[in-house]
Amino acid sequence: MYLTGCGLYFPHSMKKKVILEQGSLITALGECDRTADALMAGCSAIVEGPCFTVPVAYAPFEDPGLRDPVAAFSLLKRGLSPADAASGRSLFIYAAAKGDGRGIEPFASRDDRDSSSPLLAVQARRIRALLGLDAVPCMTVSNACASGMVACSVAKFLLEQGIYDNAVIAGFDVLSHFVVSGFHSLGALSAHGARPFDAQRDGLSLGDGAALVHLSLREPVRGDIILAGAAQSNDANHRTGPSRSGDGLLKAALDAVSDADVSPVKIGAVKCHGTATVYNDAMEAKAINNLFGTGAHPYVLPPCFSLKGAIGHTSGAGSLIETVLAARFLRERRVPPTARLETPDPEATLPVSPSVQQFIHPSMLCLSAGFGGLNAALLLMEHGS
Amino acid sequence: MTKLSATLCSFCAIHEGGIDTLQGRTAWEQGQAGPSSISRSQVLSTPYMAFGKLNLPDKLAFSAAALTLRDHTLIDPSQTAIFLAIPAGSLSTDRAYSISVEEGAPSPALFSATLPSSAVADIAIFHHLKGPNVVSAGGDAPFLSLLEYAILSIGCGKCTEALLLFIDETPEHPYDLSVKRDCVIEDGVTTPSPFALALLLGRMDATQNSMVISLERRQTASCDANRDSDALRGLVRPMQSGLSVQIPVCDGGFIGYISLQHS
Repeated sequence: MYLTGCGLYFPHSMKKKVILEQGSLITALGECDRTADALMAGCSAIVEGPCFTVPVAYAPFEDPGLRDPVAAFSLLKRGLSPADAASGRSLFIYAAAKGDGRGIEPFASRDDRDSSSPLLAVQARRIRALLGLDAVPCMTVSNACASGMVACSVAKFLLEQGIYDNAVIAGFDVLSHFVVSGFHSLGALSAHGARPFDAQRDGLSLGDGAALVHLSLREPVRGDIILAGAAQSNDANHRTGPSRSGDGLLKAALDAVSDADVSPVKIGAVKCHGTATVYNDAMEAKAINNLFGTGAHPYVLPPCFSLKGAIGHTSGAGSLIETVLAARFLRERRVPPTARLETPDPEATLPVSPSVQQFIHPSMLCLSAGFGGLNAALLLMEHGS
Repeated sequence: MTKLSATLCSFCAIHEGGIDTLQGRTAWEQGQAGPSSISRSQVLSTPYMAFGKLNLPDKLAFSAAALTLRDHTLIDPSQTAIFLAIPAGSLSTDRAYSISVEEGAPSPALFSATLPSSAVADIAIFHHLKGPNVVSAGGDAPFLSLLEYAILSIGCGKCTEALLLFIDETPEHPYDLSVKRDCVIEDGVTTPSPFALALLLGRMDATQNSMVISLERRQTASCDANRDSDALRGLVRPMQSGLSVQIPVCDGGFIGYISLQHS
């Protein structure tokens, strides 16, 4: 049972189901089908640097022209029906940490002919117009690297509450001198490439990425992917580093599972945040172990995987991209190998996928975290299974 | 549509006229240049080293949050949400960080503050707030959208209380100001000076002698354009004086009314 904003009680069985209608994306491995196939094949798009003169590995778009959001969303919108997306009461959400990198470049690197804005609100309105959704209310969500999942969480809640019937979420974050030099100054980047959950991991690799998602409230049919659970939390611990205990991420995961009204034992697989920094992966392993129980009778942990050794860390857009891919893998009931993982960290004690692995339960937990101690979790479920 | 309401437990507004809280208005001291010069001693009674290192948006957010929570005991900090609307993002900090890059010494401290969400971290850490967070960097009525989200979240038990923040920075550099003005022109309204507002919202309680803040969406409003930042400025005096007020908002796709009632 839960209490709605209107003060009425509804059981979980009466809760509206939010359907992840369709998702399209572009990563360094290509568009959705190419990315998914390459992930299953264990490919990685990470290349060694320099990246904008910084000596680090990174995962760039094949076509750097896609760092212009007009180019990227002109591609992505092909799968979106503006008529469907704008039917009834609709919401447009732009999810990004810094978004279009051109407007924030250091001044010496900036192209004077470029009119892109550093303001996410301006970027959001331009993308909304490009998608043909001018009449739709616009919101930006900028929860650092968890932006995409938090945007899904916000949209899910507003749809469930009857404020909107549809939501379109656009995620966009690309490589820029600004962002790469910033992460490098924090000592967070790997020179040779991210190796999530590896004993030898030494940092993350940034990447280019964009995604477009449509959520709706239509009557679900068998095989639909439902956004069944969503939650966020804050570590209240450190400005840029994750909590060492993993308690904040665990809280978000528990709340998402509770929101979906399922037991952790029914989770088929876990898409980890898996940045490949020493502290993130250790923290995340603790959170996942605690979610599934520790001690004498722990649950059997489902397969866990990270995508960041393949497509890089695509910042605020990343968690939206990874949600789209997770939905696809959930339908296929298999998870891809965790690219670039060679020697699993013995201290992580997680069943991180070394190869393609099948699973049974029709649900997948997606985890994300960001600067500021921000955590987010989503639980995807296949309807009718 | 449904009128959504919550108890307004506490508030703080920092603006060019001074600092307003439930306890009244504190004017700027002689020589102080308004919100951008707010000092630690005006916010906290104990030393806090990090205060002086905060950029202006984060400092305004931290200050408004601290003054809002100063005389209020939270029901459960681990279930208290922070929702932040910061339409101008981090323009000034972006500039400062870019300069450090051009000088060949990128500053990690500045970089971490270039995320619109950075203000949330300091508030969460200082007050041990572990509930959900949403950061909105603009859009149509960013604050009122979050107000709606906060009221619904409290009603559904997603949080016990919600700290709702609006931060409107006015960049000093002419280029950044012009970037912001470009945005503002799209909205059709100008923004006069830095402004910070924090509201602490709680569950409706009929037995309380309290302020109630409500939000109602409509198909039309009795104004052509009224950005939510302007509507919020209009709330400050009634919050302090005990007057009830209803303010129309027509901000992009958000049309409706925000109202304040004293029960």
